[in-house]
Amino acid sequence: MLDRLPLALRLLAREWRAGEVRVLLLAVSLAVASLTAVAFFTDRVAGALEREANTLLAADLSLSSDHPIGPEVAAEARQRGLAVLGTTTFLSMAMAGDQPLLSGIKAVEPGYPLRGSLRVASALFGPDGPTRRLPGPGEAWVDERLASGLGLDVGGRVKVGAVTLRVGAILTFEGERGGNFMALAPRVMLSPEDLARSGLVQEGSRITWRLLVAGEPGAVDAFRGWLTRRLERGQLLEGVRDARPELREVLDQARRYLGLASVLAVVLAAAAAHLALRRYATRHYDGFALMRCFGAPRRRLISLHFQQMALLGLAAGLLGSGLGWLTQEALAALLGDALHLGLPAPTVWPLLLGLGSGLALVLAFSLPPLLRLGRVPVARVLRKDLGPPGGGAWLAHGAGLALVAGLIFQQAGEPKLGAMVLGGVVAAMAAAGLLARGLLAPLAAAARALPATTTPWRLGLRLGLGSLGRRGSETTLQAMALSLGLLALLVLTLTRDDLLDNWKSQVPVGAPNRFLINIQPEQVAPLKDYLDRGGVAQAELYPMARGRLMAIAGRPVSPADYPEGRARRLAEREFNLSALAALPPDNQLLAGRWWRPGETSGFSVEEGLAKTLGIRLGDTLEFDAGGLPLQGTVLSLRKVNWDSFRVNFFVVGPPGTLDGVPLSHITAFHLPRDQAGLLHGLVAAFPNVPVIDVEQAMAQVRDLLDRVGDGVRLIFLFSLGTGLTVMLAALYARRDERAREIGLWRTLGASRATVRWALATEFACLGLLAGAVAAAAASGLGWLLATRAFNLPHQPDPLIWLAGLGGGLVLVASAGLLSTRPLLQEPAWRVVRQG
Amino acid sequence: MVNLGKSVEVAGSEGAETLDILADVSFAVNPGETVAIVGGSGSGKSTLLGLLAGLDLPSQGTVRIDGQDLFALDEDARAALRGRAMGFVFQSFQLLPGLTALENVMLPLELAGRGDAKASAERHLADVGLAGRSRHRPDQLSGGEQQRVALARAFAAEPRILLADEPTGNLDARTGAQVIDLMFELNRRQGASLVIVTHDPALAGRCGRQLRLDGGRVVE
Repeated sequence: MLDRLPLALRLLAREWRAGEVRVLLLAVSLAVASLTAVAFFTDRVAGALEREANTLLAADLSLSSDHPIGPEVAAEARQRGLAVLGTTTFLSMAMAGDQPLLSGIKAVEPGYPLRGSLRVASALFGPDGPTRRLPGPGEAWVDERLASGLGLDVGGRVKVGAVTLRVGAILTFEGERGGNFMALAPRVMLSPEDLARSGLVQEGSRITWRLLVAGEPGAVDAFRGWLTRRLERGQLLEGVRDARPELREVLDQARRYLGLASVLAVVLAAAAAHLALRRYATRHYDGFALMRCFGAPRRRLISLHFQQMALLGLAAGLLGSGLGWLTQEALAALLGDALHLGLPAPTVWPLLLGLGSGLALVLAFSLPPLLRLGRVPVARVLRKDLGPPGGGAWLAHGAGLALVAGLIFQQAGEPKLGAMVLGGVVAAMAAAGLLARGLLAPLAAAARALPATTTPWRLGLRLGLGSLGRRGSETTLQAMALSLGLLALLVLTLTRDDLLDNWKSQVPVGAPNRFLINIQPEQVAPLKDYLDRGGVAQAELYPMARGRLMAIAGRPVSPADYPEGRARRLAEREFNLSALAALPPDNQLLAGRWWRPGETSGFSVEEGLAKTLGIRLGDTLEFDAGGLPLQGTVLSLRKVNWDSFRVNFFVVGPPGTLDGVPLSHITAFHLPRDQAGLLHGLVAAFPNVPVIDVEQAMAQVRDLLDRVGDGVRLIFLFSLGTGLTVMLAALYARRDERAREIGLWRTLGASRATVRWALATEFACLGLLAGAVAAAAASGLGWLLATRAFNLPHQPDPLIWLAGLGGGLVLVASAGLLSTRPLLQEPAWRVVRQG
Repeated sequence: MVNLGKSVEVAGSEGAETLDILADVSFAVNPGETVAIVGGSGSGKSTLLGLLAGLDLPSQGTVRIDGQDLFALDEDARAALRGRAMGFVFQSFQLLPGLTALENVMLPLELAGRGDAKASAERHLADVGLAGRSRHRPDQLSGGEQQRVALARAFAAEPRILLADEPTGNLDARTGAQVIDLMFELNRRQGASLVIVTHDPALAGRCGRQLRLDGGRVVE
């Protein structure tokens, strides 16, 4: 069979020159380009996002241990080409003069952090910037909280254990601490040498040793696997997803969106290939019959065509992958700065995917039309009206469908998403097909019922409607393809908007960037007054008590009951309890009810805590709050957005719950950077109230969300291109027929205006039909995706109908009219004679 | 040697009815002979030509070429026989629009696996006076030129039988006459049998024999 390859190549070259396969090559290449670009970009963006997120861990992987980590672990990581360093953290008193403050002491080895960077300021509350330096010997970096707590500034002296260190800088941002600031003590960062000299590391000290690891994702994964099997008691291995669960959802959503875009690219690529190959086969009926007439065996002809298609598929795969690579490269270069996304190098996988899918798409989708081509009766050379008998190609179609389904599930990354898109697409196709079929007869009837006229637009309307009605199966196919293109565009727009809205609302502009804690009851009024005078009016002060959970539903709570590390830590530690009258705006009631006015007992528990500790609605909880028992029934479970940078509590009760319990207050407010001077006065007037700056942590999360959003927007642009290609391919599909029809109309005396009206009628009807189907399907699929795949609140948007109908009308009519313009310029007689 | 009948089922007022397109058409064509099949529209001329070429299947009867029963062969064998023995000229020229004149002539030779396809095609294009137009595509050629390309294609395969379906049907009288002159001249050189379907009396008159069809029967 392959001995004919040179002939196949020669024939293909002729076809190319004749323009026969250009549309096909273009359609498949663009589809492959979009698929590859999405794959390349997904590959790189996902990598970048992961790495970006890893700055919050300062590494790709972190091993924490309550005893020193054996040197073999670091050695193994180094041997695998990974960067490794150690940190040591523990709680101890830091002293300035006679004044002590319980602090988190942290010694870091050179190279810290492996991901992201630290930020420092050269004066307390002064402007800050990123740094690659670390505290050298004799030097300590302290955070704003410690500096303000101890009245220190750069140049001051702080004593840690046996060493006295010079404050070299104010540490304003440390990625590893993230939003989890409240649980941590103020920071003193120093060099490992000074740590050794401090004499604080002794047998029995409660120290956390960490080994941070970073490198190529594959090597990190492999190392993680190696290490997981060797974990000792008291050791915890974490990636960013384990350590920062609040960001897991954002990353998962972004990844899922890229998956959705890839899946839709697959569907669009298949549709483009199908349409283009169908047209290719139809245009070869004459040639096929002629060659059969000249004596070529059917098998050899089909095999020749198949070889040509294979060559074409390879070419389209190559061209498409190259184009996809170039496009994403150009976009990455163009937008790299704007996005601040340091993209990792692309892997070869998307290239292989592009090559393979180009070839597979062309071959699988050329099977039915080529088999149909093989059934063209040879007598067509004498009677042009003879075509191949219809039907019977279901098995052949199966190959294409199986391929598409396979690609969908492979690209989706998770079966649920693939199934949803597949279901939505199939439903939309069926609806478009049925609707088109159902409307064709009434349209044709309407055309007949229109009164005879010579006014161009009325005549055009009549001709256009009649033409739509006459070409039943072709119109149906066109409507289906156009609906598919529009559906893809609408679903991607809808989901993108849902995602971006949701992310934007996570860290709103003006969200609190300063926290004040440890405000004593008698300080509440003067502090409020101070903030009011400083122009910070919205600050609300929440009462807060420390309480240890003693019993759940009568069962005493003991850390030993919980095998899981997090649960055990929660069972050991004291919670922040508060009393609130109303449900905070960023909290969501999941079960039970909020208290009624006047109620003074009961608890509302954060769902994650409830799940971890096994607390159910209706359970009685007993706390020990500073020696006083506190008891109540769980009235509700709440969802708390920990990323919102607002004051939130695991457990809250109604006002009055904390009466008599020793408590302090906490508040959060937004302070513009240029008003930082207000803080100096605050520290002086309320020396016991530490100021916590979450500006950087917040900026970090906001930045991450921005970048993810930009990635999502970019991918959307790619899909937009493919969707438009499919729609063009659909409009191109009937071009030959249309050329004959226009020629005939013109020969029979229709003016150009009339023909234009006829075409406009036809395209407008198609556009509206496709738009309606796409809007309906997009509403359904959008809802399904938002609620079931992306976990987003979804508001039905009536604008989708406007976008669908309007977009369908404008896109299809303008593209259709543009694509048929040349047909109107051609002399009518030539078209008719050739036909 | 031809002995044919062709009927088709059509839907009539009383259910399916049989419509005879050809009935008991029998004749023989000798090597080198020129035969015109004439008759009015719908007389069955083109159907007969299609059967002669094995493009269509008869209801009864057969066509024998050199004693070989054409319809005892399967479709691919009939195609192979066509490739070896027959050449075709059509009313609508049947050139592939995307290919140049030269490539159109080369195509059947390439499909037959002939290594000299290009040289032979060039020679035959020169024979029909189109050596200078070999790189032109059909839409850049006049009707007469297109039919001459079709003649070159038909004769390039060196057929023993040339079947022509209304070869002048799409041409004006003068161009048609030139094409016919050329066809007879080439046929004389190659010594093929020539069967022409036409309703052009002038063309029919140049053939050695005329078979007149009327209502599917030979009325000669």
